[in-house]
Amino acid sequence: MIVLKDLEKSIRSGLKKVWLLNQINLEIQEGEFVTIMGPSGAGKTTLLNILGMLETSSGGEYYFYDEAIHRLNERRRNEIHKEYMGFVFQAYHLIDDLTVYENIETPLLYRNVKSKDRKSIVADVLDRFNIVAKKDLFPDQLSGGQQQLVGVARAIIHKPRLLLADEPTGNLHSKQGEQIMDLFKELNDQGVTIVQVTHSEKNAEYGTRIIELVDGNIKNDEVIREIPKRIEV
Amino acid sequence: MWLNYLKIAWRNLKKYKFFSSLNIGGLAIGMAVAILITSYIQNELQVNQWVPDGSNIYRAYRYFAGSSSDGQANSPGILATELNRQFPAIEQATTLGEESDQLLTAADKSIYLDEVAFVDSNFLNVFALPFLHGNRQDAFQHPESAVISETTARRFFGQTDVIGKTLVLNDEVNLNITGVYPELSGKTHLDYDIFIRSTSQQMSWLAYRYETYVKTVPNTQLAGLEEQVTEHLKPILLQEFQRANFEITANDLPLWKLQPLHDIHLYSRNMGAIRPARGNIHYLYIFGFIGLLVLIMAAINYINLSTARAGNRAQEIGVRKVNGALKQQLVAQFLTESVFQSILAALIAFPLARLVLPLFNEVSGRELTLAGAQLTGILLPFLGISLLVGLLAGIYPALVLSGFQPTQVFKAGQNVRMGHQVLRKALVVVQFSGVVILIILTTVMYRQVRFMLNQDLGFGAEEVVVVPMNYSGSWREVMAKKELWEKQPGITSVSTASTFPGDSPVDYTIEIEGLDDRYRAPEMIFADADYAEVLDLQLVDGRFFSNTISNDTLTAFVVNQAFVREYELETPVGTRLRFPWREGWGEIVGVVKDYHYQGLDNRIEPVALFGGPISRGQFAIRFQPDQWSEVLSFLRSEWPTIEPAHPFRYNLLNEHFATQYAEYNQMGSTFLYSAGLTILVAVLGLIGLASFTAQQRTKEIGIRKVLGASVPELMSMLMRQFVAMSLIAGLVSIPLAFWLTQSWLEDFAYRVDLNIWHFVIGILLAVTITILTVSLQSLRAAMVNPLESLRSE
Repeated sequence: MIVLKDLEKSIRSGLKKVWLLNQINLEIQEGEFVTIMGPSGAGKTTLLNILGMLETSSGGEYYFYDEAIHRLNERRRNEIHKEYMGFVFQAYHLIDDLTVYENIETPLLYRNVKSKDRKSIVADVLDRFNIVAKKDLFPDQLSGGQQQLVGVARAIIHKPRLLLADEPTGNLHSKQGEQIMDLFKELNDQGVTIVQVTHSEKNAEYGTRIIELVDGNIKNDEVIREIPKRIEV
Repeated sequence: MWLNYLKIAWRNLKKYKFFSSLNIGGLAIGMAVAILITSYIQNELQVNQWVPDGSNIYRAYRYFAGSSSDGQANSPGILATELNRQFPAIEQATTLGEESDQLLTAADKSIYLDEVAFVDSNFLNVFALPFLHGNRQDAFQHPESAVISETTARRFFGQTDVIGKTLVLNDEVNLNITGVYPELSGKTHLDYDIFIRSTSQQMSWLAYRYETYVKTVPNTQLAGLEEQVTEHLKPILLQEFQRANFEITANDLPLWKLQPLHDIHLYSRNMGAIRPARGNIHYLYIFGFIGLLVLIMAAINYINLSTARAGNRAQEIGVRKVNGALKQQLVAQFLTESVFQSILAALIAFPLARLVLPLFNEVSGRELTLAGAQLTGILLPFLGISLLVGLLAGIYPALVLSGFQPTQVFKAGQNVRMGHQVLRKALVVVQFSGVVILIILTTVMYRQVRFMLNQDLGFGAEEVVVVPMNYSGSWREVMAKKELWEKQPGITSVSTASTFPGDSPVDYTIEIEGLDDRYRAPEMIFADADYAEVLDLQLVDGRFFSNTISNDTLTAFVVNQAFVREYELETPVGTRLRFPWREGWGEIVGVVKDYHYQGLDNRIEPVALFGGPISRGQFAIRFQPDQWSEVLSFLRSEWPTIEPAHPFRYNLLNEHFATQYAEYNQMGSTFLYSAGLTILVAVLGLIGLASFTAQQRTKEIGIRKVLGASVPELMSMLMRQFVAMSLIAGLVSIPLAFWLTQSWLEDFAYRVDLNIWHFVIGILLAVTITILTVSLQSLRAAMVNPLESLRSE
């Protein structure tokens, strides 16, 4: 699904050039649940953003389903992003002025899903995530765990193939964190490829593979479990 | 999708009530001003548009090649007859004359009507007045018939259907009412209470006391017709002038031109029309400019507040982008929001405009209604305008907001600081330049009007009462009673004259002996020997008319300094003058110091006073102020011995003189109000920006306070940039303000000198407004307990 060859990312800081990512070579298969770990400033989030096409690399090659992303223009990148990817953030990033229902519905609006279909899709997800009762509340009326639940629901509503998560449980206490990780595991079992960034060893154990980044280099890359057989829902 | 946009727009409005109300309030005020101005302009453009066939109707006027004036709209009474007879391209021609202050009497009521038109039988064929009662075709079939306005009918008879009733004109002529037309006030330049079919028009080629209107055959080629008329009239006029002893050549004769009816209201300044046009195309430009300015102010408010507060939306934008929103979709969303707000503002603006309409009408001297046809006329264009304002104000913020990159937004967390401060500051400077210009213009206008009111006029305007008379012979009665009156306690002196200051004298052609260019047309005043005493005029040479020198009251002239200067008389006293239509020569016996016989918007022209026995329509009395009421009751008791049929009327000279400035007062106050509202809109924007800046710096303020900064220090820190911006705006605006005030002042022959202080004061006022506006927000921010602002850390 993903192939990175000699991927680099540098930024200018004053007169100096600072390398955030250095010669990254990486392959990710469909169905994997990859955890990226490493100390602060190691380049984890940068890597995740590049994978999610929110940022571009400054060198090297990035193939997504054999498409050379590094050669595409922004418009085409956006299309691919829109079609295949979902994002979950540490700070949830729900839209404060929209209700739970409307937040979850938003991605569908941008994909021109018909009103009737939207209703049923959102209703399904609300049901699946057990948040039907909360659908008319605004984000600030929810607990952190509930907000992140909505964040995940929103990220997967359009059935992305790749779910990218940046410290999804960073702001949650452990019980809520477990709930989210269980959910990720379940999604992965259903065939969604997941890349998460985390500091937590415990969270990493939910995945199939752990990549350790230090100073923009891959220091360790280890498969800890087999890719799950796809369970149809 | 749209529903979603609207929903979030609405929730954002509710969430940030303060900023939303500043935005929408400013827009609504701006739009209300713009609505009023638009309907004012529309109204002005609509004058005379109702006249059927109006595009074929013209007013004949004379144009003198090389003259600076636009032409002369008055024409001889015989012109219409000649045009009717000689030119097939002219379907109908008609003559209109005006007399003010005509006494009309119905059975039990006598009223002086100010606006009385005398017309010929052709009038209704050119101007098809709409009739409420009566039959237009034969209304002017018979002499001594009259067509009156609805209002006039009510005033005399208490009803409108008054066909066949009689009005008595000046106690002499019985007029038969043959038609009643609806009120046309404000819709026509022929704003008369009554049209009377005249039987006494002067059929002379030399008395330019009338206006001539023609209706041409459709598609007539105008320039050709004008040329034909000029050529045809040349020999006739030449012959007439020569017969009256004027030595005039064909080169001195004017070109005859035709002014379209639809131009008359707005383009007839200084055309010597018998009824000066009230409209002025310059005012339309000025108010159009203000209307535009106030909308720009409101739009700038929107742009500034939206981009300044963009940080609040940054997270939402990031999330939407990550979830697949395209840039153009976000642009569409934010445009929806701005259009939504501008339409909300428009919904408030209409009732607001209607609410202040009476005030606007009073101040501007117009009768706008904002109902019926006028409303629908303005509704559609205005919806368009509000849409446009929404789009224009929204497009920049929309582009800025939708340009956010999700990675930046999320990296910086909640507090995205926007880097568009330069543009925002530039816009504030633009706004405040507008404010400074408006302040400077307003103060200069105000000072000019004050200047005109307070200027030494060169004559004594106080403690003089002027009484208009109605019969051409009445002045002789006054002359006979004069000695008796002057013995009355409280009365200092009495004078009869054709005009007193404040009314424009009529120019007469006279012959001046010894000049190369012998025929001149000074302003002529017919007056008796006490004119100088009543008006307190000062003599600089010779003497004034004397009652004891018999020639003085027959043939003597007194002239003003402008007369001597302009005609280059070396020894004015003793120079002989002559009216071409009068036997014998007269002599200049004295020169009076120049005085402002008209308002200061008019130059002092050459004036000649003539002491001979020619009809004088008014008399004036200088009185002792402490005995004014006795003088007044004495005059009331004496009046019936002069003109028993006419009620007594009087004006105080100084008050009457000041009415000349009414138009400038109107214009000035209309300008003052609209400028004030425009400034208010800018102030609303400033409040928003200041409170936003203060909010943004809450943490910094807290830290500084903990480190020992005092409240005044913090306030000056917060206010510094705004004061700097308004100072810059002041400097930037000086050239434009100078040019605008200069060109406005050009209308006035005598005007205040523009000096640096006008500009300094304008700028200082703008800075003061800024400080007052900003200080409240800054004070609030500076007073916050630092623990509160730092607690969240």
